Amino acid sequence: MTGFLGLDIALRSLMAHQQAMEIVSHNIANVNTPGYSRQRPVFTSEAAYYSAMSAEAGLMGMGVRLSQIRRMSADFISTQVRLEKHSYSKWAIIRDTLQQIQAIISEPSEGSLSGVMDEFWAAWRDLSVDPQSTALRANVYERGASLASTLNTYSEQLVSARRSFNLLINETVRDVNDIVQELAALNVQIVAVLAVGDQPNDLRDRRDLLLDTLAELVDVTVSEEENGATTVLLRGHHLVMGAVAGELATVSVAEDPTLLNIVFQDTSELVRIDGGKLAGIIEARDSVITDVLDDLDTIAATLVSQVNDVHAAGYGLDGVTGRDFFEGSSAADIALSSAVADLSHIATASADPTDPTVGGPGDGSNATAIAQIADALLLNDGRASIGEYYRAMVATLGLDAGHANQMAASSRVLVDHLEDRREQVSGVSLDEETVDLIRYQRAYQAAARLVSVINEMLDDLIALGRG
Amino acid sequence: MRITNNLVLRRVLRDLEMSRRRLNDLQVQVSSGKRILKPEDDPFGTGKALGIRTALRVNESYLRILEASRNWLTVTEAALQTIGSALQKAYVLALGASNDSLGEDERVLVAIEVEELLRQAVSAANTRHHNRFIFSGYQTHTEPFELDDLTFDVTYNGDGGKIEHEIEPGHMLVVNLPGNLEAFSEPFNALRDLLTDLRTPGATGDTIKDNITKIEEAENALLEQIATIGARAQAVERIDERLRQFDIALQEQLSKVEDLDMAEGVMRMMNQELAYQTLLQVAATLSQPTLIEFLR
Repeated sequence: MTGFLGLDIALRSLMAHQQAMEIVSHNIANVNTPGYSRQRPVFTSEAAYYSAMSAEAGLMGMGVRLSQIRRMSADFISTQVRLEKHSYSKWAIIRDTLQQIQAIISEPSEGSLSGVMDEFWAAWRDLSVDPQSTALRANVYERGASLASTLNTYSEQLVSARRSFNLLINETVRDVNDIVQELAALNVQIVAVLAVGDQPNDLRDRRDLLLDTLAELVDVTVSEEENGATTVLLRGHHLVMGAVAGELATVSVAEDPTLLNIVFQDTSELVRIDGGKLAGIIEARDSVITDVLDDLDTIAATLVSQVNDVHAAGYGLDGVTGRDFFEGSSAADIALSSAVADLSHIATASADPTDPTVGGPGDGSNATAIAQIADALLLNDGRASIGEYYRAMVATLGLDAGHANQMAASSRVLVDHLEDRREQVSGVSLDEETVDLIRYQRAYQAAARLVSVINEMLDDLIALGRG
Repeated sequence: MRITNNLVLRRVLRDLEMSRRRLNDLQVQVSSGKRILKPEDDPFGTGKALGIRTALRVNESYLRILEASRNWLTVTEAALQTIGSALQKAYVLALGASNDSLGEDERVLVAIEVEELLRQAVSAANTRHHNRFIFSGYQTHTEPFELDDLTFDVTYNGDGGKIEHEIEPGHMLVVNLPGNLEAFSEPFNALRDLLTDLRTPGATGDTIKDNITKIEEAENALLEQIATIGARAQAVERIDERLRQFDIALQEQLSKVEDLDMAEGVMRMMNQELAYQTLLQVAATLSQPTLIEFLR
């Protein structure tokens, strides 16, 4: 054996183990880095060679080399994580929206629509026993105004919540676009690194992190090409293909220009989104909030038409009939009619009170008739009164909120569980790294020792040649 | 199964968050005394609670109506009693005057008293309650009875309108007496006739005796209406009592649905506080030493 080969082998060991220790430092340094996958050195014996001197013994080993820095990732778990994130992110938005709606409606409590409506009907009943009382007329007017303005406020707040989603949509679409641009750039880099036979480990970590974040925003499908690039599809449309990024954009909704829809930027085609934050936003805006608004509009429209019908059939103190009490047709615009701004116009009598042959001012029967609208089965095909309809709406709201809570919570549990499993594979354990460090350090020390031993031997050899 | 540092931290954080959230929910419940703070806490309970609150307000509304009805009926009864007592006094006077031995001058004196009684009766019939004439039917701004100073005829200027109060759902109670009833015309006519006959020279005891009969009939007509008013007043009291009982029952129901059982709530909250604190202590021990610290 020539000493030089031994030196060579020792040197290789020194280098390999030094590199290994650098990898350990890298891991330890990144113990808290989000999305970091630990890296392991893969040692391989150097190819043995045939030496004439050791022909009888056979092939001689050539030491060790670091053949690969392996990235410990669990890609299949990542796919599952992202899938579940589609669901969680969507339900989280829906859940939060329902919380907001419950806060707007604020039942059960005094001063909410339920109480205001009850007081309105009671005011009419009070008026019916003393139709000439200005104080009681003023009370009916006040309660009517209160009822209208409560409905107005609820409507306004819900519409405003719907519009505020625009901000969120714009923000989210911007985030998506930023991510797909970066993914395309990463694709280029990763493909280049792989092409020369290296491992783009940290680039892959970055890409995985971006894909996780993207999954929270839209429900994309991700696949890896043979050359290492990632393809990202949304409804079959390419968001990322190789070096090319396809962005999303927003357009105004035809029926309501104050709202936004999402399209593919290059084709202007509407995108249907089923998961992720954007899906949650669209559903919250177009279903959840809209359903409540529709119910409130139904209540308002019914109030206006029914009260007006009965009111117009009655007579004010001035003997005039045919006046409306409310105006408007929805929760947003229901208001008191200017016809009753003069309180004596409020129609309490069923017959002309100025004509003694048919009626008199003491007649409050029309006011009673209006109070009785509270119990009339006007909605749900004659099965529910206005109050019952409203209570059912509130109960349904509670059920939906509870359901969204459940869905979000159980999705969250799954995401956490899957991320835990991924963490188990690719996370850094400081204890493990420490042990590895000791191992590599010992090997390094041994290799160093080897160098000095061989050095001594070479000294002896050279000394032989001296005289 | 590999345990990494992050794995441990993630779990601890999750558990802490969950524990704190539960604690917060329980604290809010206890401090508000309510188990339902949002519809999602109990959707059906919320629906029920809203229904009960509406029922309570409706109940209160009807109790107010009953109060108004009671007042009407009380004032009406008082007026009728006044008319009745005028009739009774006239009866006594008529009895006295039916004696043929009474002279003309004395009869005239009695007539003056009877005239006064008639005025009192008409005045009572023109009673107002909260600025409304109670016996005018719907013409509550119009004075119902007008006494002619010459003929002592009483004309009725109101109408036959029945003022109805809804004293409970679907139950209408007529609270007024329109002035076109015999309970008014008979007493007024009887008094007028007595008065006139007393002033007629040459009236006999028999004529006066006819008047007495008229007075008796008038009293009966009046009593009939007084009884009707009495019956209505009783109905009002009955329903009032029932609604008050109902109110109590509703309050109980509402409390059962909405209110937190404080003992249970506080206990759960304290348990959760303890659990949270224990979790905090456990979390503290997890900043464990690593192998590195043991190597020299």
